[in-house]
Amino acid sequence: MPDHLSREQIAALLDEPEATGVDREHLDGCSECTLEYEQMIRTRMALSALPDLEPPVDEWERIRARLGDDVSPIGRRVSAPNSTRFRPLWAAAVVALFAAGLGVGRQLSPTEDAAPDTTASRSASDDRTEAYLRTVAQIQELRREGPSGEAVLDDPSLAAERLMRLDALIEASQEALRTAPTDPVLNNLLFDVVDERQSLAGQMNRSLRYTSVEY
Amino acid sequence: MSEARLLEAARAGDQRAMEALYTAHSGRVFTVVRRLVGDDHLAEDVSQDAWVRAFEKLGSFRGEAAFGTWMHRLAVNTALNRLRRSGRRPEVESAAEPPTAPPDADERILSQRVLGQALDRLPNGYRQVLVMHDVEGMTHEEIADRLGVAVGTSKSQLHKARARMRDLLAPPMGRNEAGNHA
Repeated sequence: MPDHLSREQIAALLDEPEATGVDREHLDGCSECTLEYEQMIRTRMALSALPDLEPPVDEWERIRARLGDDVSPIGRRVSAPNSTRFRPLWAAAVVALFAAGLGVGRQLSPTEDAAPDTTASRSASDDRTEAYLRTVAQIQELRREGPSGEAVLDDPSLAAERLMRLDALIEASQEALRTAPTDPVLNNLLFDVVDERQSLAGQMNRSLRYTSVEY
Repeated sequence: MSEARLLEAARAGDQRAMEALYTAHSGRVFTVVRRLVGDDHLAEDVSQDAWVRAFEKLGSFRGEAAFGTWMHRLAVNTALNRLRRSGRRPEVESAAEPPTAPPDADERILSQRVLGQALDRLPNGYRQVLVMHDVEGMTHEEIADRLGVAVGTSKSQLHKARARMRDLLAPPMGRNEAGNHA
């Protein structure tokens, strides 16, 4: 066969699987162009399956600063553990926070769709909202604390600590989701943490592979 | 805690509610912005801008769509506007860029890293249409509306973008520009 379709012509056929005409006829009878067509489909599928990226770790702080807030969103900071032997205590703290937040959430649920009635009940609802938001903020703070970013890849002990923190968060969020499976904050937290863990584990594996090649 | 309640609290100025909304949607927002602009630093700026605008305009969000949908649309618009303002015009017929280094033997299967690098190397006009159509799943009508171009232009740009993407991932061998045997 003297000529082949250009990649642009093949790309056009991707959106018109039922099309007829010279290009389609060529494609159907040319193994080389069919191979290119299939590669293009694979590329398209891979593009549509790209995972979400992590925003910069300090993005929220910058946004908050631009919004003109100078008050800590969570009030008291939760101190970070400084040892790699922290996992049981740290995980317990996360579970306790989730439990507290969910307890508030469960109390909130029955009133969410109800019409506002008295000032007193509105005030109680506000208090529960306040408590829930404080809990969520504390959990987010726990996630941000400790080693993170690319720096952890230079130090195996920091990377291991980050992995343990992520494992603890995954475990705690899965446990919490059994009680509140539709909570959007918990769901997104779990997805984010699992993504981060997979990414970190993958990077650590690659580092090990490169190290082994060097030796 | 429902998103409606979070929105209500955020509208009232509660920063913790805003942070909860941010946490729930920040990955999605940053991802679409980063892929559209093709640059880490610009993406950081644009993503922040989108969130600040969102919280400033939260009062105008009436809840006809989900917050995530509204936020996604706002992020795409913010990114496209920034690209327009910064003079990053669609480079429809720009000179061919050098191809990305061919993948190693063990990377023939498309890795996310290689795909991301190739996306970044696309001319802006190509990348925008490719990301909006093949990554974000938007229709040509939506893309044409956002970019202010004709539907036919959107289609043509997409086909060129896919071809360029393939050139970057697998430089053509034994096939010249017109597709003929060399």
